[in-house]
Amino acid sequence: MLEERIVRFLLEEAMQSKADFAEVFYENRLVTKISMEDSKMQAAIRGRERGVGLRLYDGLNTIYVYTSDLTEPSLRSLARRAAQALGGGKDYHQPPFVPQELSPYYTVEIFPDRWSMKQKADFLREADEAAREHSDKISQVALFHLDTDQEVLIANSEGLWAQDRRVRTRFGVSSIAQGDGELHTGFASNGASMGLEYYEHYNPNALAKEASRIAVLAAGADYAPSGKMPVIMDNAFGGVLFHEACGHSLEASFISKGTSVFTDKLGEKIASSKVSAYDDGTIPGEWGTTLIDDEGTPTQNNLLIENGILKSYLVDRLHARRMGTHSTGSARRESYRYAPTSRMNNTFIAAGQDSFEEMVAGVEYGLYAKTLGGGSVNPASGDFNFQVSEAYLIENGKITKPLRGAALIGKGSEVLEKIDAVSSDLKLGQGMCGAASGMIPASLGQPQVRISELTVGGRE
Amino acid sequence: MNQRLEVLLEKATKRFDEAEVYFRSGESTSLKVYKGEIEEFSIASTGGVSLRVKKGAKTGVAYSESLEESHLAELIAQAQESLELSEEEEYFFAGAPTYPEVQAQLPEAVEPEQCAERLIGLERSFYSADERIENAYGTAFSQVRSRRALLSSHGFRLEDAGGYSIIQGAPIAKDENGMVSGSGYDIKIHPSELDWEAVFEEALENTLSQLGAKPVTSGKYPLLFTNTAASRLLSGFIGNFVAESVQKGRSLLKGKLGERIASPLIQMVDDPFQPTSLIPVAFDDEGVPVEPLTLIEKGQLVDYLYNLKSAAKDGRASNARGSRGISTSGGTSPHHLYLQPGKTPLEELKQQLGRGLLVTEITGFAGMDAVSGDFSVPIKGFYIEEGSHVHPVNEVLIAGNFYQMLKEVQALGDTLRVGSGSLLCPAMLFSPMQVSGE
Repeated sequence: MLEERIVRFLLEEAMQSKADFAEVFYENRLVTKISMEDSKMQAAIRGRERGVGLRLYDGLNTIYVYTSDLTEPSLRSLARRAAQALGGGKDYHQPPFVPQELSPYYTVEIFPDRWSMKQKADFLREADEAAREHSDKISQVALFHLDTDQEVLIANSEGLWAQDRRVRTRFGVSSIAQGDGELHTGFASNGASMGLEYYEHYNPNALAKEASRIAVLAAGADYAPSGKMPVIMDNAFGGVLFHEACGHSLEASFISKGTSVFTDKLGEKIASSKVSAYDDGTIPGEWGTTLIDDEGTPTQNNLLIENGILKSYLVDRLHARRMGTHSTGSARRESYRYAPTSRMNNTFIAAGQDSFEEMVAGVEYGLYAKTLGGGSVNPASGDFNFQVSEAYLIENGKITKPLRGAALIGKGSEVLEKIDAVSSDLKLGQGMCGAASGMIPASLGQPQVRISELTVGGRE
Repeated sequence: MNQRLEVLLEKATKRFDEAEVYFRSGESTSLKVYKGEIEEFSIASTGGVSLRVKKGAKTGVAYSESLEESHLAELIAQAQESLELSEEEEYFFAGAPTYPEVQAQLPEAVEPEQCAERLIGLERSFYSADERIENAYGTAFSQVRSRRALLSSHGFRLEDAGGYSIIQGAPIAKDENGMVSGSGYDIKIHPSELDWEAVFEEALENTLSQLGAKPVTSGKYPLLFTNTAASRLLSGFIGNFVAESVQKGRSLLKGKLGERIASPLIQMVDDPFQPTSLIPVAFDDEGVPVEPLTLIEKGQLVDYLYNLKSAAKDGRASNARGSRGISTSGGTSPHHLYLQPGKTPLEELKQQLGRGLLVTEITGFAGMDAVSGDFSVPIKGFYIEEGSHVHPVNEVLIAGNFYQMLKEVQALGDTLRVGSGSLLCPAMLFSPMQVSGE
């Protein structure tokens, strides 16, 4: 941990400028990544990532400096360069630090260093077998185990002293099926804000079978149709719809500059009245959960949309200034290499009351998107896209045949209005979200949802 | 610093048969302006060390961003644990008598104040160029300078440095139909070489020309990709040329060496000594001397990208495409990969396109399956008839297959765009592909 004396001088040095606020972020992260391919363990990697970021505010402008060299001369020179870059000067004395007191509502049971790499590797071996046993069409399987143990300290010129230790475990499988001279991939992964007790809650063999199932299915499937049609999105990772179509566009970094389609829409109806949505950073053990955000604000459960009405944005400290509001505990960053900004934690559409069977029965010709891949959005225009890796054709109210993957596109401001059915079966999925402050763990979710019209990018 | 790395190498050499210490550090400066002020200014200096060791046929790796002695000492034990687990043999380079002479250049330091002034000027010029410009918050500069060093128990020490400077403009324009965005950029080694005027013009044109964009009717259309759009799309598939992917059955190029996999127009070359390469590297991350490499010769697949491990598996020498980072090891990647341009200017290709789509931007990359080569991606561009723009296009998806595209390319443009991807492509004209829109 960084000594209090050093944190103090960094803040004092930084504040002897035009800065009206300064913040120190320190992290020390231990990483273990074990991968397997060809049924052989690949070089396993252990590592330490460690550094300090110092951020200065001058009104709405910021300076961010960071380094991995934590020797005293290096840190002093860094703080001085930041203060010089901002200019100005004043006498400043750091107020005493008040340690933040929070009662953790979830605890890590087995810290990653309690098991040897060999013990962790055993899960890979077993899952490798499970993936290959699924079908003789499976020609290759790649798997990984990842655990991280991140210690953070956030202290600022207002006297905040917040510490957190975030432990996460993740497991992923990618299977390849061969057929007719083609190769098809299936991928499945999940993760949790847990130590190695993750393996008591999640079954890696089930992920392995899932990856192989998707790959084999694609190998026998026809191309998807193209054009506009009704689409039913499955639950769990189907939440990529809301994440891309709406979530990013509610981030204060876009809202505060008027570069989002949802700017100035608080209190207005932006979605079908069937839609209520949350971003909840407090779900115990969930992949995107943190006790405090990366500015030291406790995370909270933010109601974003209630029965179609926009209730809240996702706000960090800096953009709260521009918007004249307060932080929603949504400041996140990949590491000390990034200044934090407003991001999502665990975002989902709340359970509704429709049944999945009735949703399908109501579609004459459309797509059932069962397994979703990644996506992206342009917050300014609201144009979003995401990938479907497992899909089925719906004809005359029945699911008829599997289809190969395709991308889907739409406009965020329109698609939420087009949600005409929401089931009661809410589930979450876990992924990595990339944006201005780097790649962060984020969960997303929804019950099954039907959209009356989306553009499907098939080849037929 | 070097002293500590030497000590680490010495300790590791005593304990293992072979050892390598890889060091990488970087310094970066970036500025972003918003409404006449420097909104974000960032300075960084980072570094890290990765230790790779071998005993018998087993390899171990460990890394640290902290160079404190106690943390470096931990690397030995961590690498040992990693080594015990490994089941795939890796190989260490024994050294080479000579390396190509290159003139790697570190970018000139940037004066933040001067740079800020120019950025603010660029932002202002967007606002004054057209009243429909609503916002120009993506006006930014950044510079990266990096160093790498490789110390080997085989006795050799290699070191180099390089970097680049980049400016970008990304204005947002608004009219009664909504907001559109577009961007322009320039990337050079030195900040003094950057063409600010060209970035202004490109960003403005790419943004304003999108106003009024609409989908086309679904169907098959011949497609013409600009060099930037072609690079962005095709770069997603270069992993298929990596020998390790081929060996592990992850690439459809398995068993295709010597076969025709592309149109005779296609010449794919990886050559970091070309003037378009920003960093002319003399050695790869495993210390092997680099030479230009041809992968596709007149449509015929003639080589894969090898590192030492995959080369040993095929019983041949590495062609020096080994790559690693601080936290990754055993990778393979090209140095400066491109498709040799043809002779046809873009305007002439538009004439050849006739009625079809000019694709100027790929706006999302999720729908790309690198292994099967299938893609379904959203694009922006223009609907063209008789070589002329009819209307801008958005909210459409194009779907196709990488391998098919290589075979079916009709004509190539005459220029490459530096910084547009890991496979630089000229403009490319294709026979009809599926477009999903209205």
